[in-house]
Amino acid sequence: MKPEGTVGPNSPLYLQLRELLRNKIENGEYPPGTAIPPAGELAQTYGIHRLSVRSAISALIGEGLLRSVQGKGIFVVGEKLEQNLESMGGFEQNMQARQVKIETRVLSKTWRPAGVVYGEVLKCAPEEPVYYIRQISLLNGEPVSLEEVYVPEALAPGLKDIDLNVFTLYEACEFCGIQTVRGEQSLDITILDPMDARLLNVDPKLGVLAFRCVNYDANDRVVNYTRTYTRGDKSTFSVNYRR
Amino acid sequence: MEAHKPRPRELAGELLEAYILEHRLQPGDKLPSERELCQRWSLNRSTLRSAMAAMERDGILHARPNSGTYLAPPKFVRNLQDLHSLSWTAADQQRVLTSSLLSVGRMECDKTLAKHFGQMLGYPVYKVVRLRSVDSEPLMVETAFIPAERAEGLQEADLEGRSLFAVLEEYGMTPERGEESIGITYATAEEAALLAVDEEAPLFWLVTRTYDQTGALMEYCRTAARPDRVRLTSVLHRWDAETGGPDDEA
Repeated sequence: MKPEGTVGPNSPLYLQLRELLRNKIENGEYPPGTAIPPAGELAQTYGIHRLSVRSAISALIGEGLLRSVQGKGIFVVGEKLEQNLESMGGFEQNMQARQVKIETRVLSKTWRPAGVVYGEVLKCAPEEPVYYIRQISLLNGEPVSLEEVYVPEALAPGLKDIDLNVFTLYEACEFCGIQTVRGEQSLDITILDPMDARLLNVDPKLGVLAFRCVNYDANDRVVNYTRTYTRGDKSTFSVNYRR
Repeated sequence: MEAHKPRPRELAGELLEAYILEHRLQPGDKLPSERELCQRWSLNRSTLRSAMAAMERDGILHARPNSGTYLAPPKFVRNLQDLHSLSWTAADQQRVLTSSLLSVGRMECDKTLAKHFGQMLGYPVYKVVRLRSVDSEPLMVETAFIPAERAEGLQEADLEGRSLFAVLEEYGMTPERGEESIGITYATAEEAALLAVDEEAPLFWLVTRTYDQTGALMEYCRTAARPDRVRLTSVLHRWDAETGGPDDEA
């Protein structure tokens, strides 16, 4: 691949399109978390062959700037932030299956006032608006965990436009300019109410692991709170520690 | 974006939690009667009851027959990142930890244990089984395996009054790092009797490997713990690989 900057009017069209898309991502015309126009539309706009569009896009997918999601389109990842980060401590979730394919589906994305309980957790006033998102994770197509997410709207107003079926909460928060540096985690065992038990396809009498995490940014602000109910027969958690 | 419409039981649970926070209820404080709470919040009695039952199972509330519902004592918090013994953690939370020794003896490793210790079948280990209680309430049953060749005479040590790690320290083993995996198990008849729970009640199932300063596995331990009395915690830090330090030190 030619280094950036050497692409000019005489370069192949796919390379020109690749640089054009890169610029649009960098200058914010295609913001992180959003879909770029479909390949057919790009081909038509620029009067080039669809195959050239595909080459340009796959090069940017290879660079990690774009992400392709089957049946949904091509999404902007933007700067590759997570790859620079290494997590230390904390619980890790281990799936009890080989060759796992994990898929997240958003069940609902709503708004609510923080209220007394979540105001206390999120360190905000009870009347503050909060996004409340429920999503389910499927492991090889089978439900394995149910997650509830609370994010103060004021911290991440852009969150409502990001498709959480495509990006993780961590990525979505990064797109909104929120850097999570610390998470206070806890694990309990609880029993789900019958409706949630049905969603997870578990016997309502059995316990599930309740994982809670309060996430903080570098200024010690609470940026979100998540609660995840995980089937005990599908996964375990582990933690490493040293002196 | 639509406004969230809570389900009745979810609403009842949140109202109860808010009541506890707003009234700064302390462990042992009594909640108003069910009837009063239902009137206050215009809730259906069975909805309130099911929310209270869930909070009781989770160890937040404690119902006393013919008396009422009280705020339960806080859960015993075990941070999995420090290598402090349970005794140290209990003292730090101003709780009284007692251990009763159920059994101690030498045994030969079976296939699974031998593999964990990286030894051959029949490798001798000590098996120490203890019931740990906090403030006289049973908390967990711990079964620890320690290489016998490194702790000869362990059965003579005071394993009820002292922490096992403190005893092992005298044998020259200092915990350096560890790994713990956490899952769910269901109480066997024996565990149920020891922990005072129903048979088949869900329990934490913890498998811990602790390595000493030489990198050798000094203890392999299996624990069944009551989830209504124990909470496991940890803190996750994200490090920036390029600057090489934790972000929050900036």
